[in-house]
Amino acid sequence: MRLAWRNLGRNRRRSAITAAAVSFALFFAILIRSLQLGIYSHMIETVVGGMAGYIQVADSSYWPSQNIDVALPEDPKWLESVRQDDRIAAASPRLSGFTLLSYNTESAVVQWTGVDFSSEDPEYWSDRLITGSLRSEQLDKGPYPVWLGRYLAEGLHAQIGDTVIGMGQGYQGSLANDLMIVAGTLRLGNPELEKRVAILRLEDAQAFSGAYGMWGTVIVTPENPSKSIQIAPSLAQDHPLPFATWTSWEERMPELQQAIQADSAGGIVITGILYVVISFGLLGTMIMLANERKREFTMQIALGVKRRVLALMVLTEALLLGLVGAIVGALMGRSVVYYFHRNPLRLLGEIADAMEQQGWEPVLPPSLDWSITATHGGIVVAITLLASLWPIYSVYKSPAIQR
Amino acid sequence: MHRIVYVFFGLIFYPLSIWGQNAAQILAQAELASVQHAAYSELHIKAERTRYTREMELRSWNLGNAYSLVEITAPERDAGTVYMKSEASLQTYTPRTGKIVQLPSSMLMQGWMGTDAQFDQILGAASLSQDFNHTYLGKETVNQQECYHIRCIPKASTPVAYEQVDAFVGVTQTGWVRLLFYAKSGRVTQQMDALHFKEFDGIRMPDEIKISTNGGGQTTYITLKTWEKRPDLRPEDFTVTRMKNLSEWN
Amino acid sequence: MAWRNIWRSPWRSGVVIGAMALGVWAGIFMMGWATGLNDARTRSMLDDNVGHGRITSVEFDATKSSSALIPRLQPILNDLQEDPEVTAIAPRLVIQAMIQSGSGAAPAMVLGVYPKAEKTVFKSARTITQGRYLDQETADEIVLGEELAKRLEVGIDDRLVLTFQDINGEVHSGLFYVVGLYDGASNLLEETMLYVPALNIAQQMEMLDSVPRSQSFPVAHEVCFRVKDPYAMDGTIRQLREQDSLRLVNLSHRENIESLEQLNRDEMRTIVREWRSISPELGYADEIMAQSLLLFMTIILLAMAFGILNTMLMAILERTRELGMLMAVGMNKRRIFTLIVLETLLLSFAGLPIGLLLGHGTLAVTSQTGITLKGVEQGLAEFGMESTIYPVTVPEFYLPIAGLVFVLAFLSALYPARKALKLNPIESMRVL
Repeated sequence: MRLAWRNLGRNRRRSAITAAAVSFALFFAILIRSLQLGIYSHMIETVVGGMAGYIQVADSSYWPSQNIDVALPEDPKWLESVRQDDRIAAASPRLSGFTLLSYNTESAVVQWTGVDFSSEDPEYWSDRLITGSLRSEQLDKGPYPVWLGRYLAEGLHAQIGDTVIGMGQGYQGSLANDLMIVAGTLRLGNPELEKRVAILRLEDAQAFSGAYGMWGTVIVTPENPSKSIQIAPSLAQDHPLPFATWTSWEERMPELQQAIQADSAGGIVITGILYVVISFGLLGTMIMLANERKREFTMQIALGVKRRVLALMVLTEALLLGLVGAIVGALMGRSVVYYFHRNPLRLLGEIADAMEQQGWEPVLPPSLDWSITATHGGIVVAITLLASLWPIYSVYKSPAIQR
Repeated sequence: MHRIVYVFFGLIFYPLSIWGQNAAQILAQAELASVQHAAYSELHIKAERTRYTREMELRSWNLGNAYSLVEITAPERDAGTVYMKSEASLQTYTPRTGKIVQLPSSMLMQGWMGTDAQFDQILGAASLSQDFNHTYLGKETVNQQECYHIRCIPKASTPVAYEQVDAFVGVTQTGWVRLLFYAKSGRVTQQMDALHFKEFDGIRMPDEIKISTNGGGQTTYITLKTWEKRPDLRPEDFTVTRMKNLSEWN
Repeated sequence: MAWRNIWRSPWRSGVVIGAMALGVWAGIFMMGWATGLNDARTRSMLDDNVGHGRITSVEFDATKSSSALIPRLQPILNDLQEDPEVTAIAPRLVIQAMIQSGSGAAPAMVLGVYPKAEKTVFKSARTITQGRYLDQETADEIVLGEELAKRLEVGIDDRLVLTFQDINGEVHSGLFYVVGLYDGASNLLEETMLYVPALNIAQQMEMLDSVPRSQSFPVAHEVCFRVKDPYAMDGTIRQLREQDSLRLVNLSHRENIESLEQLNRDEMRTIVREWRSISPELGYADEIMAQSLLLFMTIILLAMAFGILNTMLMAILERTRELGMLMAVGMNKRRIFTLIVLETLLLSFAGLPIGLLLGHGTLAVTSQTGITLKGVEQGLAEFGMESTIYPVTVPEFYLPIAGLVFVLAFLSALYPARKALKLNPIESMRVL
């Protein structure tokens, strides 16, 4: 081992070049894969993040009918313990139902959702507010303040300050008939949602539907959203709530997950292509290395060093170079990825503005997942070792007599 | 709401004489009478679901099938809500909002207020006597009543989703005792029973009806507390103003 | 002399040429692959229910009310038919209704279609899993999704009742018989969309009273059409807009109806949308994929450049002795520099065409045979795509890639060349 080090040290330039090959290989692999996975995460975040929630805690029969009748009783202590869990970034209770919203002669079937603004990310909602205000002076009396999806407001021809009527079935058969006053309009990232979603304050929603002291769902965002489906079961065990199940978005929206998987398969082919290029680069370096050291090998053999020993030495050198290169490459990769995480690449063209209008962020953010580094670090080192077979082969091919 | 009223009248208005065993005629007579009465009634409804039970009290005025006015009197949260059907429109009023809202037909198509009473949805405008083919299957005792068992299969063009309806009509002038609605697989998806009969204002009718869906998973009980003829009712009585001032009416 | 140098060490040259060719091949193949994948996915969604373009009345676009039929339908259809870019047309009715079976009920979106025309624009007719598609224009037939059929517990030949409001607001029920079940691109859609013959439902909705019966397409809420190239629709839309009889308003993916009032004021009655406007998410997804593709290709080419750089550096190192000798013999630095750069460039000129040929060749072959992705068949099938993707040849990229490669090769030759210059001739000769 030490001999290997010395060998490497002896011809520093050569070693540096080889190690650099490894470093760059890993650097590019990390870059491409982090970007790919980051883009998927970003798309998922846009669709799932806000309304649907990464993980939803609700009665076992809640999804997909979203039946308000199976709401669960409030449990603030349980909620607190959930929030204390390190694995969880946020947990917000909600209550949803369907109603007919009318204004003058227009009406629309709408899904209303009661939100506890104090327990949700204030930026999330203020980002989505188009007109009006999130603060409301309405107290216990009078119509409930309601925030409408912007196309809903347009369809009803309702403006801020107008009084709309909500009419329909509430909790467990009771009637939900009440007045609401338009407090603002929202941008929800999806025109379909914007045509049929109305937001209320949670306590107003409970009063409106008759579901006093009940939560329909609790939306949970894990620290690591990409692990939603993995941690849901253990979270359920650690924070039991009677009748409740924890379902992750993949279970509730399998089509989206399958779409991502299909894309990911395509992405893997692309990464594969990158690896072809990388491998060739590494191989090329190794070939040069072999060529360069031909004389050295011949001399060593002539001096009586067994080929096997020599081969092992080459292998060890390759391993060391591989590791060193990998570490440097990992560092380079991680820093660039981190930089792009803070300053994401923005999409070009006017379509970027259109997307922003709709509530989509037109960026290509990379993923910060360490497993990418680990996986590809491993692959790259493995490739390096494989490529070192060339110089090893060269060892065996060397003639015994110095030329 | 008018649908609950229909269930009721559809089930209780029976003809006073049944001749022979002509199934079609039996059914026809049952249906013929149901359109002619004007009445006032008070009902109690209990809806049982797997997760909860809901009870309601209401009172209703109706003029045949075309006009009806229903007010909810209990529970307190919903008391004062009024539904009115006049000709083709269905409207509702809640004291809490103080406004009258026209309901679109799409809202009517779902189970009303958590109950299973969806008579319109079941048979719609179809008539058992005219739009179905009949087979008389003899006499049976159902709910302590002797009945004619008549099997009804919808004719090819009848817009009804059921493949088969088994009707049990009381032999002694008491009308429907049981109705069974079948899906294609031969499974009973809905069952309506008249459990008890009583005389109101000179007419004998069921005062307890049970509707069960999905083999008992969802059941609704309708109890008739009061019923009286109201020959004084006119279409002009069914107005929007009336909806807001029901307490002043009799 | 550069030429001779190349030949002197065939291995080394071979490696560099190989690396170059490979990089080029990789870049081209990736573009072709990803474009094919993206296209397949987008087209699959378009074929399912979006179409390439759609015309509706302004009112329908805003409210989806069943009374908002397209005014003056015939001249619009005529103009569409005459447009050379339009390849297929399918008018449809879109109605909200309640559907009931013996076992249950559900809300549904009913599409009243003209079966022959529908088949030319959408593929739903081709995704029938049981039974058959509608074939008669007026029969009481209905086709629904497998998921919905499961929920309603119905199969072929079963009765279904549709309850809906006609254009006068009255409620009707219509009886239909199931003739076929389809498998849509996503479960969500399958749950609520069903197909009935347009003429049948139009009749029941009292839409046909004031329309001459001689027309083959008397009424429609929307007219969906296909064009030759859905990615180049701007011209087509502009052309349609100029048709007098249509008085169309075009909405690119940038705008949406900002104000119904304004449009009414301007007396525009119909709206033409291209697919990016109908389904903006599809457009965004497409764009994101396209741009991230460019990003990935850049990364791959950079990787290639570094690979070459590395190889060249190694090569220089290997030739230290001989370079030292050359310098000792008197060759000046400038010529050495040029020598190295020239060598690299020559090698790339050898590598480039090989790479291009390989790239184009593999794309041409796989675009016929397709590449089957095992293991994600389920995922793709849910998306309506087959598991075999057909890459496309991308000749428009060859020139840019060649240029890029040339530049990169040049740049990657500079560093080793500079290093070569710094070599001390005496020391180099002593290197073992």
